Amino acid sequence: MSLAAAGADALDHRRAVRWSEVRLIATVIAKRLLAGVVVLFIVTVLIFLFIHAAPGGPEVAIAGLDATPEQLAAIRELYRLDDPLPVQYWTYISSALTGDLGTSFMLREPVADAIGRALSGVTIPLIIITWTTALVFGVSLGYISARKRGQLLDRAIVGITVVGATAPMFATGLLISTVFGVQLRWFPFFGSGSGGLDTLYHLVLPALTMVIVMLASTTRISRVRFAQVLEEDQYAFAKARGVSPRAIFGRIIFRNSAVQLITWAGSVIVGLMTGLIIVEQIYSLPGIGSLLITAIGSRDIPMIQGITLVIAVAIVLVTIIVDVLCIIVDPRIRRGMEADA
Amino acid sequence: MSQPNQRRRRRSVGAALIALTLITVTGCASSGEAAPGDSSLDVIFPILRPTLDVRDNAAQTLGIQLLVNEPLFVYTPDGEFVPRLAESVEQPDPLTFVYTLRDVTFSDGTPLTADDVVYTFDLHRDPESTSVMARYWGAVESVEATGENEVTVKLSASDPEWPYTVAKTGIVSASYYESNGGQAGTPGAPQIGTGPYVVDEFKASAEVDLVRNPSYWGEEAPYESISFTAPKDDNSRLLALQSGNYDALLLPPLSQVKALSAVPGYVASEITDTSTYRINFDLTKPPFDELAVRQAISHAVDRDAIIGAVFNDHAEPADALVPPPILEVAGEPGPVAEAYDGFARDFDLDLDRAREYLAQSSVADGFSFTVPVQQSDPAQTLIAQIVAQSLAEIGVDMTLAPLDDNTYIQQVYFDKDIDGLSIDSWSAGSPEPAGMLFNAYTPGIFSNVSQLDSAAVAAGLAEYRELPVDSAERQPLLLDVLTEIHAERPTVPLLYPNLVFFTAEDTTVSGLNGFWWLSPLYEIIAPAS
Repeated sequence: MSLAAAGADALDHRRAVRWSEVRLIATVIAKRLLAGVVVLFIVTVLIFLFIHAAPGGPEVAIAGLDATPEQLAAIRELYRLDDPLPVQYWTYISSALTGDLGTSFMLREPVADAIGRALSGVTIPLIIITWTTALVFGVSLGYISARKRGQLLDRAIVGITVVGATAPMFATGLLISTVFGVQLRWFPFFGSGSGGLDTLYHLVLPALTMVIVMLASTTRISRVRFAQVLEEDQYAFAKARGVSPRAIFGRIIFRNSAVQLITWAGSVIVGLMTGLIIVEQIYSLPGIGSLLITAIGSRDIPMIQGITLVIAVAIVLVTIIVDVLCIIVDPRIRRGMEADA
Repeated sequence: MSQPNQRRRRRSVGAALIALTLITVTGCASSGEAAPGDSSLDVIFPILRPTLDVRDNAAQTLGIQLLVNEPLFVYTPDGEFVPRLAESVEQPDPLTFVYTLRDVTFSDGTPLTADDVVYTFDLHRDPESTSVMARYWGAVESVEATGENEVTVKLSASDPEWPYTVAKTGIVSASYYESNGGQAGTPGAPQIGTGPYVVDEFKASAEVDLVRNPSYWGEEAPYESISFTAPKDDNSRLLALQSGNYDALLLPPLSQVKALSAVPGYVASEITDTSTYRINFDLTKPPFDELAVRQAISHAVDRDAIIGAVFNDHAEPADALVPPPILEVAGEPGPVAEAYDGFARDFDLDLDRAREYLAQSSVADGFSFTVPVQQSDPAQTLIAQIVAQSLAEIGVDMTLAPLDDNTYIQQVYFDKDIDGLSIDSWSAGSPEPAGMLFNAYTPGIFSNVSQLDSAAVAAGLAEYRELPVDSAERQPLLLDVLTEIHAERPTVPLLYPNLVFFTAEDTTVSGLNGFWWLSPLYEIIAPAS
């Protein structure tokens, strides 16, 4: 066989491998999406049942304490709250499938509009800032800590981050607001500002509060994994062969830790969803957490369903992205899945 | 008063910092400098509603709404009705009101017409209305535009609350409402009106920013802008005041007044509010259907302990459901004080008498029951805990069941699905002296929690409805009604909480009363100069 033919065979082989990887990833995405649809269906049914099992209907919150029984009955009729539950669920789910999440009882506007505004105005910027900051600093501190494990710096990093994480988020927020908002007057600690840079400015302290809470776990997870890799033979051999520190970090330490870090990064996003509810209360931010709390308090059924659906979709998507990224970065997972197939 | 504007300037500095950090070259925030002499009033408010739709705002939040949507008549702190969007009103007969409208325009330039007034009134009185004020429109038989600038309202029966209902109803633009498909007053379609202010920015339940209406027909308001924000917890409220960025903090929880008083630069104004914390007995449920049991509990409750421990003495003991200042509107203070002193004797803390009364009842050895408490009102829970301790002294075992607002309202007011005793706070919806009594003791009405069905009380209230507003018989008649109610003991009035405003030292507060929200806020909190 000529050299050219051998080269062509190698190229074909690489293409075949790449194609099989693409098919594998596509299969994984399809399976996960299918599972996600089932999960979403279950979530919508459960949320629907929970809302309707709770005593006190939305008509009381809508019409207030001065309502008359006739007015309450009229409101129930207006929003078809006396229809059988399966009929109400079908009305909701069939509309949701067309992208219509209904109209909020309390806000008098489409649920999608209110959620969109809360997401774009507060929640998504806050998640992005918090997530990237927590990961960058957490992974960096984890790496430093792993390299210096057992030493004073390691103990200091782990100790400080754990103290930050064990303090209740309310207390952390209060302390940060007092120091940076009231005393130093560097940043606002109230509301979301008037959009753009002003909103980013208003999100600094809320993000800092959440970062402090998330930092300990991120640092710890990355420290443990980095320390494991630093103990492995491949690291010792690479170092002995004189591979550059940059290459050792990129190809050995970071790459071998990537699956755990990606998985953890996904978990951080999911964890942030619950943290958001608290931090939005502390800083009076009109984000999705505040919207959900208000909606639950007033039994705003379309809004509760809409927000929980959006959160469930986000979690399903994050899970799928994490799975796909893990398959891409770690060939061992690919081979395992191919063998299973 | 924050000169324009400490807050904006700080925002700008921060925005610039971020701009530098991000190496961004566009979008620098403007400094927001205003003309000399202009100023803003930045207010920390207790709660903001999800919309600025006129159907969704009542009581305190009307103080914001009415700055944008003016009523036909304004109720002043002096207790007078002053024409605003109406030039005048005539009454050809006691049940007919003919309003002549002023020639003014909405902030979008469209003229105010009689159809706008009819449309607004119909928003509240429609049988399917979601209005929180719908109850007040029950006596309205018809509303018609009887001329280009004339609206005629006919009542089906005499209604002493009608003038107050008019003063609470901000007029909206019918065409704006129609063109926005039911979404007027939301962040996407900010409310418009004829008032001295227009909505600059609205964030549902979080923030309302108003700026002067440049085309306002009346006298220019003193502040260039007024903003309202609502902290979601006590700590945020305290920090906000400490930051010095706000000119006023209205209606804080009374348990927080002491901490807030320590913030320098602010002055506290405190008056008795127009609400009452009370214990309600359901007269249809044993053993509370026995007068002796109700009398026993009346003497067992330590109201002073509640006022001291829960309200830090920022409250007055209550001797009847209606706070005295409301009754004094209909006459002199003397007779009210005399009658209330008589009631007070039956609420004295006296455990021996309480045990004696209990011994006369069918539950002489004591009994047990559960009382629902509203989680959103920490004061109510604390009151219930103190009441439980007091009742334990006479052998009555009271257990607390915390409920969220909706569940509480449903169980206590609408379903009356409780063991027979509830604790709540009840507010006067208007300055009408009989308003609270109409609400609380009209037989069959949902808010008659005690289910009192007294012919004497009903007859007294019916007679009151027919009296002219300026009749000297009104106050004596109401005191008679209160005496009839007291004889039945459907309620143990506990206390009248105070109402507190914290305002910056460079402002002055005047005309503050329990119905401050019916007057323009800038008249109550005015620039010192």
